[in-house]
Amino acid sequence: MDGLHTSTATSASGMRAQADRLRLTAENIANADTPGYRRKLTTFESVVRQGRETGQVTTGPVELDQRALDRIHDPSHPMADAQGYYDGSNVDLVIEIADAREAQRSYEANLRMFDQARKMRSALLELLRR
Amino acid sequence: MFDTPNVMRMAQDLARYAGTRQSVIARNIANADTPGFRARDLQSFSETYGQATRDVVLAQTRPGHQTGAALGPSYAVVDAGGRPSPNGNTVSLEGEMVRATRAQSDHTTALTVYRSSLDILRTALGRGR
Repeated sequence: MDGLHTSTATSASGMRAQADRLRLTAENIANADTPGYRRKLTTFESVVRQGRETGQVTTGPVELDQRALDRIHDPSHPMADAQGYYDGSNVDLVIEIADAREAQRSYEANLRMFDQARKMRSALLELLRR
Repeated sequence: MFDTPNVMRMAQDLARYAGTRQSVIARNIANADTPGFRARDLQSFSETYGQATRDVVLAQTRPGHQTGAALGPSYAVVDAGGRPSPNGNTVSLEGEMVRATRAQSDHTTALTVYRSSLDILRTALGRGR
């Protein structure tokens, strides 16, 4: 029973972390055309409470991708310099889409585990019936 | 006077094993993207069943203290192996799904055996099913 209880908490933390990642991906995609926007990314970390690993996962601090910004040639753009270039964003849509897919897949796996733990627990409680 | 039949105790152990294994798998899946995380698994049930599985012994300094027997057996956690990805993570979602299905079917088996043993006991008491 205790194992199943921690299991739901662990799966929930996994879903939360993947949802955070998906949110950052959405922000990146929304800002793909914002001049000077740097892609946001985060890493996953294990949760340690009172010196013990809880098995849960969380997202670390949000970091900015330090890759060089795209130089876009458009002399009519209001932010263009003397040569007609301005700084675009460093978001690569292909990477973002792949990242979103991966987050979705991991989210579903966590959801399945959550559901399985719930089913196992209700099967256990079924024994008390009658 | 009344001893729990052996088969029921075994079913109980298997259910507990399946529950513990499920939580280990849930942890692996939650950490599927954590850099450097190594997938874990429990020793197989046939290996752990029957041995003195209580490797955690509580110290007793007074006679009234808990012995740790109430905690139930603890299972050895082993490294599940698997090829590490570039960030050092060894979790494979597919492998974990297979293991999770296995744990669930173990759990269902245990509960079914337990329930039918209960039915036998009820029949012996003359209550019928």
